[in-house]
Amino acid sequence: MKKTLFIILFFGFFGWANAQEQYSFQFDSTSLEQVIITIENSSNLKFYYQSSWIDSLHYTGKFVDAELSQVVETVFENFDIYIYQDSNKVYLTKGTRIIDQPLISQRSDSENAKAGAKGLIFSQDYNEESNFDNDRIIEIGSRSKMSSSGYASLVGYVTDEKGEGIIGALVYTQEPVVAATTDINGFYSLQLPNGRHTIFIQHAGMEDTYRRVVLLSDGKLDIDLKQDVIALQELLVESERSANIRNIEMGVRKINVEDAKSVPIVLGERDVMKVATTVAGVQSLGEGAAGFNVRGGKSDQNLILFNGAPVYNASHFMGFFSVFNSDVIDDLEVFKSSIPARFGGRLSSVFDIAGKKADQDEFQASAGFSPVTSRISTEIPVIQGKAGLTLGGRTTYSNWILKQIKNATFRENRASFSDFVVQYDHQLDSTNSLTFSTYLSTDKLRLSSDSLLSFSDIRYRNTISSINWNRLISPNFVMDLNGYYSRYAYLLENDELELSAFKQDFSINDWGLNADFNYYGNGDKIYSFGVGSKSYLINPGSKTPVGENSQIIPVDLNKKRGRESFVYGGVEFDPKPNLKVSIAGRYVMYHAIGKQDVLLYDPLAPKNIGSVTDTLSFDQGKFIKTYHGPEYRMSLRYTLTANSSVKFSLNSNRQYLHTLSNSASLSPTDTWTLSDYHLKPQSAQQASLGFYTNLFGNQLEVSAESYYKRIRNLLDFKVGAEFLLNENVETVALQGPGKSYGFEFSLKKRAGKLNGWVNYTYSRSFIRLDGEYNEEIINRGEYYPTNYDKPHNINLIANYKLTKRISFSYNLNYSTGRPVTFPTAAYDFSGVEVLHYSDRNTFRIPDYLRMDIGINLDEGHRLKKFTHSYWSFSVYNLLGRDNPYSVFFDLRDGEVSGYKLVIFGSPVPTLSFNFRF
Amino acid sequence: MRSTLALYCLLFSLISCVKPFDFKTEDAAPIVVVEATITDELKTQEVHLSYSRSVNTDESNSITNANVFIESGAGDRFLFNETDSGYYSDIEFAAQVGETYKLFVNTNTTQYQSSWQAALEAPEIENVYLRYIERPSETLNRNEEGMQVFIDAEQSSTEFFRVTWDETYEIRVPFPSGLDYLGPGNWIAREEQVGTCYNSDHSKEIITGTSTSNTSARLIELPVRYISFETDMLRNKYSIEVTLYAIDRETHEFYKSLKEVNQSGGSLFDTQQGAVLGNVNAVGDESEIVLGYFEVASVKKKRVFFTWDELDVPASRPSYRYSCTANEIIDTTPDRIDGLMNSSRRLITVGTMPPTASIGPAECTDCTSFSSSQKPDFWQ
Repeated sequence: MKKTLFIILFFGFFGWANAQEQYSFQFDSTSLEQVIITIENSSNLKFYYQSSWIDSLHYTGKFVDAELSQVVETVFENFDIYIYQDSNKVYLTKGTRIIDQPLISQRSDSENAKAGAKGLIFSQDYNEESNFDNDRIIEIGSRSKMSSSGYASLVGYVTDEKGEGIIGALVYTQEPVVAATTDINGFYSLQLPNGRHTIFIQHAGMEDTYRRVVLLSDGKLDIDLKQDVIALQELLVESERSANIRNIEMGVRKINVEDAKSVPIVLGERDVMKVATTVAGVQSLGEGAAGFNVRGGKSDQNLILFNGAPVYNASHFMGFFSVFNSDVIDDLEVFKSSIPARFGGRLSSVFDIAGKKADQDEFQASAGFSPVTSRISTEIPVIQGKAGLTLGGRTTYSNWILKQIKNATFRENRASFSDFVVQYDHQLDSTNSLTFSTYLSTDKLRLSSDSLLSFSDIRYRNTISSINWNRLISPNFVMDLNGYYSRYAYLLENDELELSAFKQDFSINDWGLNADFNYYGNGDKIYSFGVGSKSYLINPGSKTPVGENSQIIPVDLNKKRGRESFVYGGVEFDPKPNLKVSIAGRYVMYHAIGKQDVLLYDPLAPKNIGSVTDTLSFDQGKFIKTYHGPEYRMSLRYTLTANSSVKFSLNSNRQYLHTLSNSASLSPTDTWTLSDYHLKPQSAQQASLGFYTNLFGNQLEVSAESYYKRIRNLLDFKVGAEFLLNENVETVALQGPGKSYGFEFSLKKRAGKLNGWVNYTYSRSFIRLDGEYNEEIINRGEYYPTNYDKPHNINLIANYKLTKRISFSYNLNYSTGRPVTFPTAAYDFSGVEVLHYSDRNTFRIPDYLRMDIGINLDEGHRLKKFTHSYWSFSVYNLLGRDNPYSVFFDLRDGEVSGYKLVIFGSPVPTLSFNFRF
Repeated sequence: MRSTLALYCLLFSLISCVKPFDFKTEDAAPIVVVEATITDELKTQEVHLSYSRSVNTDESNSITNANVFIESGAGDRFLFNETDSGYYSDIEFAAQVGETYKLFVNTNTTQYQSSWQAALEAPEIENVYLRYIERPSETLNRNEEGMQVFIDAEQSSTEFFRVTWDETYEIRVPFPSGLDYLGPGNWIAREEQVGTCYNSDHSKEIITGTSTSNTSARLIELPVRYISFETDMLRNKYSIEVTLYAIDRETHEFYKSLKEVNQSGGSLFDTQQGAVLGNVNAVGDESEIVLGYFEVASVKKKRVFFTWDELDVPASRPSYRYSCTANEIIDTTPDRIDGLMNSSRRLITVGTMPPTASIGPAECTDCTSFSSSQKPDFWQ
């Protein structure tokens, strides 16, 4: 049995070997450098650091007969300098303490120690070996200091060509498998058996490299990485390697922007959000559908955050593109079961998107062109090393294309979108940083309407601004303050008929303030707590006449207001070495706020306009209804072996915001509404259990998760419900219990020539509507599948790197067709043939199957080339399969014909050109 | 939303986005369908009772041996007698505006009752007019041109309406056949002309409207019928009679739901389909689904005529229904007629000095081959 040793870099742990001696020092505004020299002179400690970190720092303090460890600890806890000590060596690092990488297992047991001194050879042997860069054998430490334990520490910095530390680089040996990732300064530490090793270093965008060493005793090895000339193409080795095992959260998936590169692209746009929907448990609705369903949840149950601010419509072109330009996204985290307590307000998931922090030292730009869109983004250093500005923009030229199409009598049609991101990051000082970001996306559609009653113009826009202040109150106490404003609005306009010309609008405004605190306590305890409040202002719609002759009566629905406030607290700790527990509670208070006139209905009749008995008037600012309650978030992680763990989580959520939509997808004209006097909040409780293991030296991640979710007051609607300009939504809304359960299996290979992931999801989702009156009872009051119940789902994404310049990508997507209502009978009524439909959602549209391929070709391979560019060619829906998006029926002359709506029903090839400099 | 689709099809160069879809469904057990509209016209009122049919057949089963009557709020009872084509009132009567009515149907097994329905006053139709409109074609991958028929109604206290229409248009063939070919060597001059015919049709969709959304409290600019120039309907003379039904809010809701459930489709964002239930229920069994509606309405009608020349639109005149060029006419001599004639051809003319004859395809020479030459009484 071969034991695997894992040493993960961690700080704050002091194992002072010879700290019995007592020391006294007095410092009075002494420069930190002088402090270090003083300590070095009076002890056997040796400090390793970069002088630029400490040259401006001073320390005042007094020690009397203190232990050396205490002195060092006390001195440095005042600065954002972290210490790592290894016998008499003290390594200083600068930046945030890495706390999410606790020791998994440290089995320096005797058996392993005996197996140490691996391949130890005499110097004359290896001197004869080749002398080239990588192959040169580096002797570390000295034979005289060789430890009897058979182990030694290898530490050092991984830097780029300019000498700057690389964060998150993976430093590892294969035999035994020992791995570490570099911290914010590029610092790493490995505990290895003495002897000969090959140290491998990998990092995205850098050339893979290795060093051959002979480790004799503790020592230092700095490694500089060369930038990979085909960096755009480079496979990513993430710092999160093995994080899936160690992290306590389950149902979390971090989508790196780099991941998007391994997925064939659609219409020339890399799309991080689209990649996110290929994660196990997330189901997209197929092309043309905005929104997605997570673990049997409705599409409005997903919270999408951009730098902390909610995004209400995350898609352009009604779902063909996501609203985010992937070039200006740092990363995207998907939480689908153990949603951290700082998030709330949605039942199913959180998509947390972080905007790109600009490079503060060097100007960078990237751009891409395809037949449909073009995009550009730049990173501009504002203050060297302190502040940077990211600017990104994207637009379409589809209008131009529409005009070019010959024989097009659709010349009236227009469709275009654009989006812009500005993000400014400023490191005020060593403990304070400020981020300001703003985001704007606009879509404009003009359709020559088929029915004169349909809308001829649709415009919709997201406007989002946020400010984040991150403060290191003390080295182990972090505060995050976030303020935001988010608005989603659309405007419909029809001016084709002079007398009936009108405009109709809708908007949701949301602003809030959150304070989140993290305190890293003794041991491994992490305390998180915070408080926040958000306000909603919804204009459910107003209709105004357009032009002098229009006879449209203006309609202006009362604005809806609500406030959602919360406080939360939690702790994460390790009661046992292989057990980690996270417990958090959250209390949410929601007020529906006037001004509003609330209709009261006859309790003995279904709610509709005919059964109104009275009206309650609430003045401006008055509370109409208050809902409040606790939410809990609990997770457990138990490590079975160094490479596998079991996790369990239990959590609950409440949701006060709902979309009014009959369809499975999100439409730009769907309106959002708030819980109010009649509409109750939805709430969900979810239990999940998962097993995670990494095989072949973390090369292959395997996970299996299952979940069961119970939902209260899930929303569905009466047959043929109408929402636009409906002041009394309660007359068409139905609420009832729901349940979802499922199983997710996922395999992911991160590195190698062939990499990618495959997952299978089994997921069911049901709702029961059993009201008192016929129109409130659906399917006899039994549980029936929701519109988005798609039991089987398979996603496969694979990337094969043929040469350094050419790589292939492949994507396969399969899912069961979603439930629909089929006609089961026909009849004549008033000269019209009418279809009678089955119970709701008893049939399914045909299964969805799509295959895409992509080829990426890097242009140059020259080292000194100014720009890096690549061509990418992809074919979407290679099989040209007619995947129905929806089906509908037509009855003519006694015959029922079925039709299916197919989007991208044939292969769609796209060629795009991308570059960065 | 169909235009949205068309846009995407076009944008992404995909010709056809809506494709036929084969589906299998289970047939529901027959459901009772009640179809009864009582109007304020003094006439024999009708009630139709049937069972719903399977989606794959067009034979409907009427409900026989039912006992049908209507009661008014004033206590009058109108009895209905069964005939082959439905149940007809035994006397002529008109619904009175302001009065309420209730339908009773007793079958052998079950008793059905409607809710009380009131008759509302219908305003006069002020104007029926046509306007030139281009719109995306449902069948062709381009826009089509045509005329949209609108109506305006006079001001009234009624807010909810539904509309039906009956249209008739004149059809002409370019080469009218003057002779009836009876057999070899035997043709006679036609007694009735076959050059001009009249085709009639009635609305097959549900049209509803309200006056609640405009300041004049009138039903205005209600689109009733679109007539494409891709058809020959507007080539000659066209007439449409519009019937306006004044209905109450619940009836309007019913029709609107029926329309949405029945006619929506093909959009990216479809509506929830399901059973649309009316105002008739089985007594004592709330769970039994009863389809259809008992409607009481006052009605107003208006008929208008248009000729192509009166329309004055920026489009070329719609072509003949069938492509009929001079090439399709066979010029021959009388002795060859017998060899050339068959059932799909007509004899246009026969001349003796010099001996000539012309024969053409039926669709170019005889409109009775696809329509009727019977002139309607109202035709002006």
